[in-house]
Amino acid sequence: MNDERRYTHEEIVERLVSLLQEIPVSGNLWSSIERAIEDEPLDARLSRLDTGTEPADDLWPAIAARIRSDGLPAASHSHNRWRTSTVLAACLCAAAIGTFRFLERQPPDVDNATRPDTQQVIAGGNADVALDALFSESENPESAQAGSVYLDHIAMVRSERQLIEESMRQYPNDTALRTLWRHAYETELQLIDEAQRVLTNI
Amino acid sequence: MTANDEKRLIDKAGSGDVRAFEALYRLHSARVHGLCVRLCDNRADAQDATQETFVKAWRGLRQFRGTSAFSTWLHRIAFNECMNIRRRSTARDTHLQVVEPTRAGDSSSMPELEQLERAVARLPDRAREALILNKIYGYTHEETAEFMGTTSGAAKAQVHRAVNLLRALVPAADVDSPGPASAATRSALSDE
Repeated sequence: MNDERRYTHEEIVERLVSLLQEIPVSGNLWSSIERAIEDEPLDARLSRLDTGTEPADDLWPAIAARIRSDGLPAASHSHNRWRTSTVLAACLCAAAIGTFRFLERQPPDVDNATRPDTQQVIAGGNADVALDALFSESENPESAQAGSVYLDHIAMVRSERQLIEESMRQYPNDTALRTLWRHAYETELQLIDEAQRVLTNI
Repeated sequence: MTANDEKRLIDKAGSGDVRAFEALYRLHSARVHGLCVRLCDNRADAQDATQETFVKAWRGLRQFRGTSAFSTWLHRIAFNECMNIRRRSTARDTHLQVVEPTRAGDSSSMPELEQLERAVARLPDRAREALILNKIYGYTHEETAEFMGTTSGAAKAQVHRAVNLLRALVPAADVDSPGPASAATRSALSDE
């Protein structure tokens, strides 16, 4: 394995997904968040928003034309299985080619000392999201570099949050700690969102 | 229309009855399109997503097992379709600034609800998606998580984030005028 190896785009996406999945915390902290989600006046106003909006044009004629040309609804999964297999094969090829090209373009001065283990990164991923991301990924290596920067930043904020959590266990009634924790938690979420967007948009 | 009537329509459409499928379209198109309007960046994309949703629903009708409501199944297809369209949109960031007011739903002529719609439209993507599904369309955190391909805890976290941002953007005490968003709120929204 190449010593200069950094994460591929899809590994970063998987890591981001796993980071987001790890965010929820258990016990009192989480129940305080659940209470915070319930905001009756805001909920009441949100529930008054229209959920139905008629399209400006009647879409049915176009839909009817398309489904008539399709014929009967698909009778079995065989077509889907065939298509899924093709897509998966294409993904694997794209991932292999993308990884190869990315490794070829690595800048020589990259410091990998602080990167987490790749297997650990892959283990926490969400296959569906990662596959979706694979479709939308750019081949631009900048996205992977930006993703790595975000991962470092998120790791830093996360370790701060975990330190705060330890203190909160010792001093459960300290409201200042709770405020600090919430700030770290929200920053972490924001960074993950930003990173996902950067990876998709670059 | 009762659940049995709807099931009969689904069965008939599944055997190729286009008129039955049209009845299903008439029944569900407004809510599907409403969801697409909130999730897509502009109305043209929302119409495309709505159309594609029903074409895909027709193709997949025989795979619909009735384990969830038909409307939930349609909304899931619509959600995925909007995500696909958004990912394909290359000029999204520039576009957003121009069409932001129309990204909101058609909620009402009431100024406070219009303001709320605008605030929802300004939320970061994931927080907005979670809030729309959970707080506007009434899906549970678990269902919201399924839509978003994440855990229910992460979906809750995004709803929490959205609620906090909305509180700052649309203060409860003064719904008719936009309150000054805090620095943290502006920072949280600046990624949009």
